[in-house]
Amino acid sequence: MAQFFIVRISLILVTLLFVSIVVFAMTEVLSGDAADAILGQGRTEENLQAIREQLGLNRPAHVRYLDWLGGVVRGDLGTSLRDQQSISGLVGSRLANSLVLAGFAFMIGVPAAVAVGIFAAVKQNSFLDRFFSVTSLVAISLPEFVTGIVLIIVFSSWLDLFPSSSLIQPGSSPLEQPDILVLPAATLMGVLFAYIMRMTRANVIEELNTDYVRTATLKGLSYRRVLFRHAVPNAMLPTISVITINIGWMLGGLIIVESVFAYPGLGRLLLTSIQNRDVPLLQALALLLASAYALSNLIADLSYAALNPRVRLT
Amino acid sequence: MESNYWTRRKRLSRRSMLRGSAVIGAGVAGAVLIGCGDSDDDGGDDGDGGDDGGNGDDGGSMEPVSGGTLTVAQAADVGTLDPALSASTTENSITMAVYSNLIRRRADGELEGMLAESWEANDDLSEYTLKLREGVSFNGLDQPFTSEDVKFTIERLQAEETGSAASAALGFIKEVQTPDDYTATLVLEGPNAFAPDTLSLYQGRILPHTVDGARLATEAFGTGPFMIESHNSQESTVFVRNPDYWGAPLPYLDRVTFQYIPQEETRTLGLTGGDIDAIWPISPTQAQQIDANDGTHTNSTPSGSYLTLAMQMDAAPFDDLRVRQAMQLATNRDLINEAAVFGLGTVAHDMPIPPTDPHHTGLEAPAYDVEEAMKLLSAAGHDGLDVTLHTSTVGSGMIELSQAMKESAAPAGINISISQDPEDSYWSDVWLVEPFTTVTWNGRNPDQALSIVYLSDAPWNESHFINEDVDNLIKAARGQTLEERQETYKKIHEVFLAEVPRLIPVFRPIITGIGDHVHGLTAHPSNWLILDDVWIDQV
Amino acid sequence: MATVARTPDSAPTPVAIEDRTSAWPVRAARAVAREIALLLRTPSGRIGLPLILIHVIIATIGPMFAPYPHTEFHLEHRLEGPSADFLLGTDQFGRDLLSRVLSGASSIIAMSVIGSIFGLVIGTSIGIASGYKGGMVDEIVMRIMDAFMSFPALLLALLVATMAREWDFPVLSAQFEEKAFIVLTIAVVFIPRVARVLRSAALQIKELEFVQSARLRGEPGWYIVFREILPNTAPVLGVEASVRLSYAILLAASLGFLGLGVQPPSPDWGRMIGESQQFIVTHPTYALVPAVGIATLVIGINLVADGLREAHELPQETPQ
Repeated sequence: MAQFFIVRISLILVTLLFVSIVVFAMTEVLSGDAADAILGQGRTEENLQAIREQLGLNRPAHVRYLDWLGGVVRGDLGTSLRDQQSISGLVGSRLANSLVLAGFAFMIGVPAAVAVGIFAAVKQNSFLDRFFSVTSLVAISLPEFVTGIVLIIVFSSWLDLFPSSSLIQPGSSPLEQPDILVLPAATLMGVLFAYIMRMTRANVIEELNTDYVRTATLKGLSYRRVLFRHAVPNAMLPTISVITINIGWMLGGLIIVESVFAYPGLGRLLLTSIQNRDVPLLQALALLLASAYALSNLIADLSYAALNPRVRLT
Repeated sequence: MESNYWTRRKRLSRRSMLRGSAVIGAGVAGAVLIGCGDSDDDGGDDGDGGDDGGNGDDGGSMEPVSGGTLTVAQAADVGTLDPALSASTTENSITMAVYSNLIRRRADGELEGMLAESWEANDDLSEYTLKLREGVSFNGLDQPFTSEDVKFTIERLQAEETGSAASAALGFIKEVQTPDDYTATLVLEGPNAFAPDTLSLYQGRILPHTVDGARLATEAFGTGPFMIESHNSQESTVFVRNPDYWGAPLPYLDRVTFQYIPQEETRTLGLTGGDIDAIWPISPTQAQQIDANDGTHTNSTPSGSYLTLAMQMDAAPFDDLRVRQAMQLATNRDLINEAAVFGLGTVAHDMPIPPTDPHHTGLEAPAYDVEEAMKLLSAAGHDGLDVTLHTSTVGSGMIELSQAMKESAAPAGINISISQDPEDSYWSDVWLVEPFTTVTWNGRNPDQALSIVYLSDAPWNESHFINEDVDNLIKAARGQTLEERQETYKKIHEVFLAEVPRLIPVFRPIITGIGDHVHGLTAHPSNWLILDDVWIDQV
Repeated sequence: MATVARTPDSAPTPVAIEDRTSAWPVRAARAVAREIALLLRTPSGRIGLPLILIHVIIATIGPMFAPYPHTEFHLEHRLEGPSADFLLGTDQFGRDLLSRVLSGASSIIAMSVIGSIFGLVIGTSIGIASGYKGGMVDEIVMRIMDAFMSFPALLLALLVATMAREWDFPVLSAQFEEKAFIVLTIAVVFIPRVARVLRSAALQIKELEFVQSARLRGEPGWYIVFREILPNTAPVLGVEASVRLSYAILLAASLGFLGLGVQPPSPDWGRMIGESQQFIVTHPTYALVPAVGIATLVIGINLVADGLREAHELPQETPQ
C-alpha cells in the first residue's frame, strides 16, 4: 500500500513538472510578454527594455524557468508580473471563492442527483422519470455557458429570483451572499447531475432486478428496506467512482461558469493571466489545476479500490 | 426599464427614501455639463492654488455634506500602483486619489495649483519657478514634502530605467533646481508655454525622494485626499480619508471603494440596481440605459479623446498623396460619429485639437465626396482600391469606426476588408506595424497631442510623417503667445489637410454614470476621476 | 501503477471481417449504411439523426437564404428584438441575427468535424500501434498521453488556442486559415483520450486468434494494424467518434464564448453568445438564438451516440 502511494505521488510530481514545462514552453511561443501587456499603448523600445529589465524578462528562457522552479520547490510561488503582488495571496482568496462555489455545487448537487436517480428508478417509466431523462439529456448536451445563460434568462431576467452576476462586496466572502452562488452552482453542477442521476437510476434498476432483491421482498422485507439497505448501496459503487472522477472534469467547467457569472474565482484569474502574459501567475494556476486533477484521479482510484475488493492496486 | 433582480433590490434600498431629495439633485445634473473652457495655457500667469477644487458647478442648490462611502465600479485593469508606470484609466484613478500633482487641469480647463501653490515663468518661458506648498507630508513615511521630491519625481520619470511612457512628454525639462526647500525651478530646453499644463499628466504624481522605487508597485506614499486601506488588484481597493490632507477640509467622503468588474454591462447593472454609486468611464452604449433609469443619470463632456485611421505614408498604396486624399474624401464623418459614439461625439477634421480648446483652428476637412475620391484614385492609377484595415476591441469605438469607414468608402470603389485582431497583441503587433490601422487616443494639450505623433522623431509616429516645416512649427509654438499659437496651429492644420497623414473623424465624449445621490462627480475631458469634492446625500 | 479499470469492461465482441472481395471504399460505405440502419431502429437514433440532418442542411444551404450579408451593419437598428425586417432581431451593431446564425452553422460544424477527424485518425493510429507494439514503446507512449491528459482539457485548449491563433497556415485560404487553429486545438486535446480508448481495444483484439494467425503468417505490422485490428475497432470507434464530436462542438463553442475562438467579424455561435451576454437582461433573444443552435446540434449528436451504444449494446460512457 505504501509502495502504491510512493509510486503514485512521484508520478504526480513528474506530471506536474511536465505540465509546468509545457505551459512555460507555450508562453514562450506566445507573441508579446508581460512588458507589452503592462505598457500597452504607452510602449516605446526604451520603455519596454526598462520594464523587461525590471521584471527579469531579459534573461534567457531556461534561466527564468529554473529560477521559478527553484522558488516553487521552496514554497515561494513568486510575484505576479503585472502588479507585483504575491501570487499566493492573489491565488489564495480566489481559490477560496472557487472552492466555495464548487463545494456548494457538489454538496447540494450530488445528493440531489442521487435522490432523483433513485426516485426515477423506483418510478420507472412514469412521467417524472421521462421528464428527468429528457432534461438530463439536455443538460449533458449543453455547454456550461449555454446552461448558465439560459438560467440567467429564466431565473434572473424573467423571474427576478437571483442576480445575473456575482457582485461580491469587497472583503466579504460569497458565503455571506448565498444568492449569488445559486445560479453558478446550478450551472456547474448541471452536467454532473445528469450523469450521476442517469448512472444511479440505471444501477438501481439493475439491482432491483437481481435475484437477491427478489428474494428479500419475497421474504417479506419492506420495499423501502430492501431499497435502501441493499439495492442502493450496491448501486452506489460505480456511481461513486463517477463522482470522484468528475471532480477533475469540473475544473474546466469552473473556468467557463466563472466567466459567465463574473464570479471572482480561479477561472477568471487564469484567463487574465493568459491575456497579460503573466507567466508566474499562469504557472501557479496551471500547477494548481493539474494537482487538483491528479488528486481527484487518485481519490477516484482509491475509492474504487476501496469499494470494490476485486480490484487490486498494483 | 424592465423589472429585474437588480431593479427590485434597488427598490428596497435606502435610495428610495431619498427620492425626494433626488429631485433636487436632478437639478444639479443639468448644471454639470462642462463647456468650453477658456483654458489659459499662458504659463506667464500666476496660477492660484484651488483649495476647493472647483471641479464642477453644483448649481449651489445644496450644501456639501461630509461623510459617507462612495462605491465606484471600474474595469478590472489594475496592475502596478506606481504612477510612473500607470497605463489604464483604473490605475490613474487610484493614483489620483492617493497622490497629488504639482499642478492639475480642472474639468473646466483651468489650471489649479496642487503641491505647487503658484508658479511664475521668466520672460521667454524657458524657466518656471514653482512656489511649493508648505506643511505637507507623505502618508506612511512621515516625511515633509520639499523641492527635493519634485526633483526626484521628475528625474525618475525621465530616466530610461524607469520605463515610463511620460519620459518623452517630460523631455522638455532640462534640469530641476532646488534653491530652497519650498521652491523648485524648472529649467527647460527651450521656451514652452505648456509646461505647467504638462505637469498635470497622470504620471506626474509627486513621490517622496526617499522611497525605494520597487515598493511603489504595491504601496502608495502620497499626499492625496485619500489613503489606501486595503488593495487587491483583482477585486477592489478601499480608501479612507487622509486626515492630514493639505486640501482640508476636503475630501467630503469618509471612504471610497473601487470595485473592479470586467464587464461593462455588469457595472451598469450594479449602478442601476443601487449597489454601485458611480461607474466610469462608460461607453456610449450604456448611456441611454442609465439616463432612462430612475435614480441614475449620466454626466458627459466633450473631450480631446479621438479615434483615428492611421495610414503609413511610406507604404503602398498610401505613399501616393492622391490615394490619401481619396481616403479623406471617402470619409463620412457624420456616419462615423453616429456609428462609433452614438452621435454623442464631435466631428473632427484630421487635427487632434477639439473645439473646446482655445487653440481650435476652425478649419474643416473637405466634405464627403465620393466622385472626387474616385477621380483621384484613377488619377493615381487605381481602378478601385483594395486595402486591409486593422482594428480590435481593445479601444472603445474602434470596431464601429472600421465598419463605418468601410461603408462610407465603398461607393468610391475603395474596398476595405477589415481584419479584427486579438486584443492582447494589438499594441505590440499591429499598431505601428500594419500600414492601415484604427487607433484611439486620449486627449492632451495641443503641444503634447502633436508632438507625440507628428514630429519626425515622435515616439508614436503612426504615419511615418516626416516634415521639417511642421517640426519647426510645433516646436516654435511652445514659446509663443496664445494668439501666435493659434496662427501656428492653423498653419499646421493646413499642412495636415493637404498631406493627409492621418484621418481623425471624431472626438469622443467622456461619460460617467452616477446615482442621483452623488454630487460633484463630473466627467473630466482628460478622462480623470477626481474625487476631492464629491459628496453624497446622507440618510 | 494502478491498473484500475474505471468503467466496466467495454471490449466489444469483435466480428471477423466477412467481406474482403470489394474495394475498401465500398466496404466502408456499406459499413456506414449498416450503422445508420441500426441507428434508426433505436428511439434515440430516430430523433438524433434528423436533428443532425437539419443542422447539416442549414450549414450547407442556409447561407443562401440569409436575408442580409452577415457582416452588414444597420446602425439605426441596434439590439432590436424580432421584427418583420429582422426575423430574429439584431445584435449590438445592427447585424441581422438570422443571417449570422445561418452563416455560423457551417463554421462550427466544419471546425468540430475536421478537428475530430484529425484527433480520431491520429489518436487511433497512435493508440492501436502502441497497443499492438506493447512493451517499452507502449509504456512510454502511454506515459506521454497520460501527461497530456493531466491537463484539464480546457486549460490545454486555452493555451493551444492562444498560441496557435497567431500562426500562419500557409497552405490554406484565408477563410480556412482563421479556423485552422481551432481545428488544431481540438485535435491536440483529443489525441491522448482517443489513443487511450483505442489502445485498450487494441490490447484486447490483438490476443484473438485471427490476429495471432496473421502474425504467424508473417504479415507485416502495419498490415495487421490496419486490416485486422482497425476494422474490428469499428464499433468502439463509432461511439468514440460521436462522443468526441459532441465534445468538439462544446469545446469550440466554449473557446468562442471566452473570446479565444474564431475572431470577428466571422459569425461564431460561441462568441456570439459571449458578446450577447452583456445585453442579456434587456435583450435575451440575442443570446437565445445561437444557444438554441448549439443545444439542438449537440443534443442530436448525443442522441446518435446513445443510439449507437444501444445498437451495439455497449455500456454507458462516463464523461471524460
